[in-house]
Order: sequence, then structure tokens, then C-alpha cells
Amino acid sequence: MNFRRWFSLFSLFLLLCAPIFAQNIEDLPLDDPVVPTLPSPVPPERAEHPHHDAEPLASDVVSDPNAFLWQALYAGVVVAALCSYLGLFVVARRMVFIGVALAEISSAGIALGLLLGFAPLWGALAFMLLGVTLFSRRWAPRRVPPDASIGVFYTLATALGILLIAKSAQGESHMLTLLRGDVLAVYPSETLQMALVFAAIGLIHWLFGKEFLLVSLDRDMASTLGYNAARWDFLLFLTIGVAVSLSIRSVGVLLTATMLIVPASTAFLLAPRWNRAAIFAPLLGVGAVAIGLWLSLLGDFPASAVIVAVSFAFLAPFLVWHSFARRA
Amino acid sequence: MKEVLAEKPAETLLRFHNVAAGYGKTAILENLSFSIENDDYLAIVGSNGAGKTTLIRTLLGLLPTVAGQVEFPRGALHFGYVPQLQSLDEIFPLTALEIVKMGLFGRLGALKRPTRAETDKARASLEEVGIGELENHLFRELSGGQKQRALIARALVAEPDVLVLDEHTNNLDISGEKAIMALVDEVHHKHNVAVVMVTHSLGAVANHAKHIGLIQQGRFDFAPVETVMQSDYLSEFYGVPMRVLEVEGVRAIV
Ligand SMILES: Nc1ncnc2c1ncn2[C@@H]1O[C@H](COP(=O)(O)OP(=O)(O)OP(=O)(O)O)[C@@H](O)[C@H]1O
Ligand SMILES: [Mg+2]
Repeated sequence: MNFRRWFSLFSLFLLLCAPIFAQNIEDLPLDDPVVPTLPSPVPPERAEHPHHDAEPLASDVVSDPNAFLWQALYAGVVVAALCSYLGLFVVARRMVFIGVALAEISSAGIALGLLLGFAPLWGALAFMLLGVTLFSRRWAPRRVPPDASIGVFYTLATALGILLIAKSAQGESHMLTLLRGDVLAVYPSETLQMALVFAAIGLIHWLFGKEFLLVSLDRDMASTLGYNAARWDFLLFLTIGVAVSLSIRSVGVLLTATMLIVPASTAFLLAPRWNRAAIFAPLLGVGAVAIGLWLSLLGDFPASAVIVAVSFAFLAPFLVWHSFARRA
Repeated sequence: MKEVLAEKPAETLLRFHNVAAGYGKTAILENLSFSIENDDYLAIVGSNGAGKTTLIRTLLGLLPTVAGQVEFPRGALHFGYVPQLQSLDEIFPLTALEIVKMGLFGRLGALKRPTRAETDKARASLEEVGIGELENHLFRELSGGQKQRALIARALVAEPDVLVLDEHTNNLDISGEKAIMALVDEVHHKHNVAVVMVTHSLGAVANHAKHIGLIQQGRFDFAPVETVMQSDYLSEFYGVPMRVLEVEGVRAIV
């Protein structure tokens, strides 16, 4: 029933992505990441950052030792804002393992792109689509529980990533950094691409949030109301998959997975209402990125790991409170 | 309201003609033939695993038929579906009112959001099932009976032609069960809506339904309740002696 609408929507989405993919071909992130180009059009998040006025990114930015940090902040904020929100669906639908497996599969796609010399984003997206297809099928669910089959693909993808790196012409350690991503080594152009695509995904969720919630909560109900539940589900998975692929390329598997899981869990504990959690989750994610980067700068710690720790620090008090204090 | 119902000519909403229901190519139930009228109240009764849910899902179009087709003489129907309770994931932190509003999404279509008027409609629906004061409570924090009421409100708010309930009195105590059955009766008359109900207890529906479909080991018998609620009929169907007593117009099986 909704097919035509769905299809036009998807075309619109691809259209929005097209310039980004096209641009990406010349934008192989194999060169040195520390060379920022001119501040390409301002990412929307920049405006939100209060300190930014004092920090003009001009062409002399190469000599600015903190430029990479600002880039990390922008990228981290973009990833956190969307992935934390999508995380509400991932967590509530008990798809955390799927989310993490999708992340790992996408990163194997990046490795393939690096090995064969095409844009890693294409590899990531192609593998992500493959992953979404694999996971939307239920593999002998009566004999092997679904999480086991997801786990099979997860380990397989990880192994594939390692194999592809081993055979790659680039230095293995360099490749590993690329694969695992590094929030301190992002490219401004990447962040801009990501911001644009994520804005499109955000728009889709703003328009169809109620459909996504309905098919997530009660597929049968959605079908009896005349919705094509499978297509809506696929669109939801697609938005999550695209967000994961792009985030992986930019900030790596660990940070992406964290943003998918932790802020949403915290938000559900903090505000047991869907609408409020949808506001809190992105705030918590962005907050963890900002504070984590600041702490990593202060103490010279690896940024991603500190961000993960900060996210957990947000979660821990609520987890403890709800597990122990409220039991009585 | 009831007068209108009585005057309205019986119209067939939905017809099974030699339908086989099941999964993939495996039929669980075969040769299903029955129809549902616009003022019908059908109870489908069978033991665990008999295929009640399978039949309901086929009726709702959630499951393709293995053979034959479900016909809709009057055109496509709006179903109000009250699923088995455990089919709803309570991890989602939604309030009773939010759950009920979802019933409106079908008529609303994509891209539109419920307006104030529609929210009021959802509220009225919650009032009607008797839990208006719980609208801002989380669904997962309601009692079993209250959850059932919220789900019935969600189904009703879409103004369905057929209200379909799957094992909706499971896990309720006897007074809770009676209250919900009375609510369904009330809704059936007031909203002029046909009811299809699934249960494993014949006794629970014997005094409410107009037609009964009995399922037992792949066999499906469909008949008016007066026919079914006879000692001979039931003894023959189940192959064990059964007796139907009628006390003050209330039927009981012993
Ligand atoms: N997805 C499925 N694929 C294959 N067979 C199924 C599936 N779901 C149920 N069955 C089988 O169909 C038969 C009928 O199941 P169904 O769920 O319709 O029973 P039911 O009468 O609703 O039982 P209950 O009272 O326990 O709800 C069972 O034997 C079951 O094993
Ligand atoms: Mg059942």
C-alpha cells in the first residue's frame, strides 16, 4: 500500500547521498589525515558549539595544533547525535548484537575497499546492505537461535577484515588504525558528508518516526492497519545501517557501537518515556563525546576509550540505582 | 443503538471457502469453510497448539493461505486486533495513551501526526474501556486486566468492522475474565462491531458468542452456539461424554 511513497522516499534518500558518494571517489582517506583542507562548508553542529567563535578555522589551520581536536569534536558530535537516537530502536528491539555485527561487517567492507583500491565507503555500504539482508532473514531459528546466527556472521566478518588487511599493500598497522577508526584522525570532508547524510536520515525519522515505532512495537498491528511492515522495517534497518557504515569509517567500530548502545540505555533508565528518551539519548551521546575529548586532551589518553568510559559513567549511577535501590 | 443493529440486514463481511491455513506448504487446518456476518460474534475454541492463532493470523491476512482464499464480499475490512498479551514488547516505554493512539495510525496514514482531536479520541476510547485515569501510566506498569483494556481501546479507536481478540482472558482471574467479557459484549453492541475471539475455554464463551468454531486435531466444526452447546454434539466432537446444563439461561459444561 505504501510502496510508492516508500520508493519515492528511498529515491530521495539516494539522491541526497549521490553527491556524497561521487565526491568520495577522489577522497580516499589514505593520505595523511592531519592536513585539513580549507574549512569546507560549515557543518551544522559547528554553530551549536559555543566556543567555536573563538576558534576560526582559517587556511592557516595547518599550524593550529588543536585543529584535529575540533575536527574530532565535530565528527564525534555528528555520530553521537544520530547514533544515540537510533540506539533507542536498537536497544528496545533487542538488536544490540545486530548493531555491533553490522558495524563489524561494514568495517570488513572498508578493508575490502582499501585492498582493492576503491572508496572504502562503497565497501562499507555494500557490506552493510549484505548484512541487513543476512539479518533480516531468520536462519533455521528453530534449531539455532537468532543470536547464534548473528554471532556467526559477526565472527566471520571480523576474520574477513583481518584477512583483507593482511593481504593489503598498505602497512598493516596503518590499516588497522584506519579500520578501527580514530576519532582524532577524521577528515573535515568526511564529517561534512556524514553530517549531510545524517541530516537526511534525521529527516526520514522525523517524518516517519511514528511508523518506525509502530512496526518496532507491534508488527502484526502495523500489518492489520494496512502498513507494509516488512518495507518499513527494511527502511528503518537501512537508516541504521547507513548511519553505522558512515560512523565506522569516521570514528571506528568501538565508538560507533558505544553510541548505539550506551546513551539509549541511559536514556531509558533516566526517562522511562519514549519521547523524553528520544531527547535525552542524543544529549547524553554528545555530552559524552565532548567531555571525553576534553578529558583525553587533558590526560593524553586515547580519545575513543575515554569517550566510552564517560558514556559508561553516565549510565552507571542509573544502572546501580534501578538495580538495587528500587528493588524494595 | 440496538434497534439499529436489529434492523440492519445481515451482510457477509468475510468468507472462508475451503481454505487451508498453515505455514509454508504445511497445512495445520484444512477445509475451513465459514463466514462472518456484520453483527456476528464468533468464538474459536481449541486446546493449546490446535491452530487457533494460525487461523486468526490467516483471517487477518498476516499469514498467506496454504490453499484457497479468504473472500471479502464487502471489500477490504478494517480489523481491530487485540493480540495475545505476550506479543507486545514492554521494553518500549510507552504510556497507555500512546499505545491507544497507535490504533489511529492506519487511518492517519504516513507523514501525518495525531492532532489534538485524535488524541481526544484516544482518550475517550480509554475512558470507554474504564481506564481513563491511567492514560499517562506506562503500559508495562498496568495490571494484566488493564493491559487488556488498553489493547481493546487501541483496537476500537480505529473504528474497526471486526474486533479480533486472541486469548485475551489468559492470565486473568475469574472476575477479571468476566469483566473483560462483559466489556467485549458492551462494545459489540455499542459499536456495532463483529467480534472474533480465540480461547481455549468453551465455558468462557458459551454465554456470549453467536457462533462457535471448534478446533480439535485438524478438525474444524463451525455452528451456531445453540447447536454446539448440546450434550450430544460436544460428546460426539470430543469423543468423551459431556453434558451441557442450562441454569437460569446460563449454559455450563460438566
Ligand atoms: N511459525 C510457525 N511455523 C511452523 N509451524 C508453526 C509456526 N507457529 C506455529 N506452528 C505450529 O502450528 C500449530 C498451531 O499453532 P498455533 O499457534 O496456531 O496454536 P494455538 O491454538 O494458538 O495454541 P495456543 O493455545 O498455545 O496459543 C502448532 O503445532 C505449532 O507448532
Ligand atoms: Mg495461540
